[in-house]
Amino acid sequence: MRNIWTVYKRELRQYFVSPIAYLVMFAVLLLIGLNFNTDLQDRANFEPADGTVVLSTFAFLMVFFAPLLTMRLFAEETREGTLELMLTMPIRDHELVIGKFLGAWAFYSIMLLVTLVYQGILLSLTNFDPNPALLQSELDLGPIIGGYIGIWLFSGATIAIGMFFSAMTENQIIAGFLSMAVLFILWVGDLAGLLPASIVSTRVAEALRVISLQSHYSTSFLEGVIRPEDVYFYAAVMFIMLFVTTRLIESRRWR
Amino acid sequence: MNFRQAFQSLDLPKLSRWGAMIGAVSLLIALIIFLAQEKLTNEAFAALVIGVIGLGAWMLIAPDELRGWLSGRQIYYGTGTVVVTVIFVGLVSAGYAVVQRQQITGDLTTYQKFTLDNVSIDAVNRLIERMNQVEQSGTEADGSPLKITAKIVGFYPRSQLREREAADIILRQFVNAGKGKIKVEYIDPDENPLQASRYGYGLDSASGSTIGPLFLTLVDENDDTRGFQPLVIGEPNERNISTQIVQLLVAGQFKVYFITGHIEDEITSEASLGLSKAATGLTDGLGIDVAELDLSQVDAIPDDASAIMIIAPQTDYSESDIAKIDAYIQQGGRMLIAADPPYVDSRLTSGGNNQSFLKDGLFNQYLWHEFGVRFREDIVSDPLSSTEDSDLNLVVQQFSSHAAVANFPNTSPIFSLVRSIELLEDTSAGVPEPDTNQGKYVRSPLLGSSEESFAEFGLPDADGNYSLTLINLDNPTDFTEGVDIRGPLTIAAAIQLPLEDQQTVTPRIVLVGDADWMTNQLVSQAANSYLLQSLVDWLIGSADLVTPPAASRPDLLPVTVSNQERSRIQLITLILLPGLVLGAGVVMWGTRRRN
Repeated sequence: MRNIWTVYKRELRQYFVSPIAYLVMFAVLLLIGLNFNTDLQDRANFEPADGTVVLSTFAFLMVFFAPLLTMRLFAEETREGTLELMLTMPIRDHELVIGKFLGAWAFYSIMLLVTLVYQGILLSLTNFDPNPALLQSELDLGPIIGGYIGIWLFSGATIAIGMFFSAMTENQIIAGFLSMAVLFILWVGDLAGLLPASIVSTRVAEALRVISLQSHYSTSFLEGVIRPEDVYFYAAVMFIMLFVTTRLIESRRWR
Repeated sequence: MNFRQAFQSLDLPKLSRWGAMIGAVSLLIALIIFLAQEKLTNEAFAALVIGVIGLGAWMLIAPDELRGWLSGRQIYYGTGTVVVTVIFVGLVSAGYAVVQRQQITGDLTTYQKFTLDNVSIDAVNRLIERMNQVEQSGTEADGSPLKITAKIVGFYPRSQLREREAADIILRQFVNAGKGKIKVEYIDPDENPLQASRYGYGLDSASGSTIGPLFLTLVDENDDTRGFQPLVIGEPNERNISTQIVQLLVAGQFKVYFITGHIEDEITSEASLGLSKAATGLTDGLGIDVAELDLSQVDAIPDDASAIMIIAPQTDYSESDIAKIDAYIQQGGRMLIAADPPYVDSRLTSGGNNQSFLKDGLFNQYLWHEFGVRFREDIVSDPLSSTEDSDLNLVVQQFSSHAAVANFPNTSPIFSLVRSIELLEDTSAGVPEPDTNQGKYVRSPLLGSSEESFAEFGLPDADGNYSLTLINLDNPTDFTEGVDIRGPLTIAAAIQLPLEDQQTVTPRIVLVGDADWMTNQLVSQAANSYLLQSLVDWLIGSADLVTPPAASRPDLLPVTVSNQERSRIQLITLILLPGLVLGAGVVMWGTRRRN
């Protein structure tokens, strides 16, 4: 545990001294802000406020920005030779992998927490029923709470996938590109049914939906519903990717 | 250099390695194509051939490399890693299947959108009870015990897998509440057009909307519906599903007879003035059996009549007919009469001559004598609530709070050529006449015309006689003081016994001053259809027997944002928040450069 904690602290610190992390956070917040304001403008006086807009935007942006933050995790260490050095230290491969993963996930969690500002704004805009017995906000908090739980798990899965590709190659660009491509496929897998049957059969389209990152999020967490299989899915993706990444790191000893 | 020399100068082992790589990639592509299309297509076969040739060439040209690769440490360790990984992934995937089967859902929404309310749970429990009763009362053809299950069938084409997933959240609540007696099946209508047609899924040519995607049916152990006609649930929400469960419960319990023999509109007629759509609405929408009944052919109205409907008669009823109706009503019968204005009606252009419910007509006199209510010989003109087509097409604007029309939706029914209804309370005396039963009943207006309306009793002819037949598109209605009556006017009314007299029999009567709203040309209007269901529901008392379906969740109010608030929000979210992060990055970058 101590080794995991040490690696975790080191990784998290790395993010706060890395300009790219700030640039990513800046870009994410700016894009979410734009979407948030557009949506609010569209809804004003017509529809109730919807806090999940921020979260669905965040989830989509993660497909492109998560690889930018995870591509360096192992690829940079491999290129600079520090990974070999770390492997000679009294630290197990899985401790290294878990520590790095938790560091990256913590940074994402911080970024996610910053988006609570948008929910605070929406809450400040909504009125409350004057009847104390019916004290209910115009903002349905269920989908927002569910959405935050879901997106936290979702980003854990994207980080685990990004980290796997980072461990595959020493070239950060290739690692970033590969994970972006795979995350994008896993994102649009939700829409596999729209492809003609001559390209993808219905059963395969259904299978693609099952492994799609979006399908376990958009129709459940974002609706205010928590289903154990969705929680399990994201946890399973994390476990599997961390397991495979550990095996990849381990393979350096015998390759 | 000749060909032989050129060939010898090639680095064949290196080329074979490239061949092996290309072959491996081709095999992978072949596998992906095969998995995606679930058959060996030409493309997959071509990739397979390239793969085999590439790898085969490498094996033939560089057999030592193959041997070394197979016995090398990479294969030794790699195989172990792959096997362990496959086992791990397999176990995790199996765990997913187990968790998914539990069908557990946590509902965080404020209004518990994905949690069944007590009304729905009650409906499901009643359904289970009913299925258990059916199982105990019968057996399969081979003598084995009967097992009945309610099945919700969802038709979702492959392009709507996402919608199917969304529907599944609420459907699994019913499955869980059903304790094994409710199951869900999804069918792709494109792959199973026969099933789709069997359930009636598809485009409704009349309304242009899709019938479905959800249907409710009962099946036995062999998935046989045993002749049960599937009910259309429509869109997946709790109200729709529980409504159809309730309809399933009342199915077969009620039967409504449409009286014939006086040139009434017919339930078998699909013409614009027919009643086929109204009849279908009652059978499919409310689970009520419908049939026609010619009073001259029967001694009495059948005992299984939950209600009788008299729709647009063109001639008066005979004493014998009225006696049969009276006997039925006195035993607690229910009756709906929808009558068009006399002499003229919507068949105005075709020269109709409606003689029903004239002031001195037998049936009208009976209604007045027994119940203190009758149809007037007039046409209601309502400039305030007319449609664009004609000032005689009336959009109902006044609803009473009577149970028969309670909770009416926001839209109003559309009538065509309406006659008004006179209640005892409308007369100058307002008290029951002697030697009548008027005092026994309570009369309640249900629908009314606007304040601007008036009852047109006719236009004067050359002799100064007022006649309704003179009214047409060129000679519109015109209020005449002393002849016509100013609105608001009653255009539908309900009659029943006072509450204290309802211990033994509970007759109910509804009078509507128009019949066209029920015909095929107008009943498809959402409000007209709702009015029909609502009136029949009240008449037959189905609402008293089963709990009404769950009401829809209250809507959240729209968010209001002032310009000042909007500017402040833009400042925070587009400038301050990203700016702070960018500023922190610049500071950090500067600090690092200085160090």
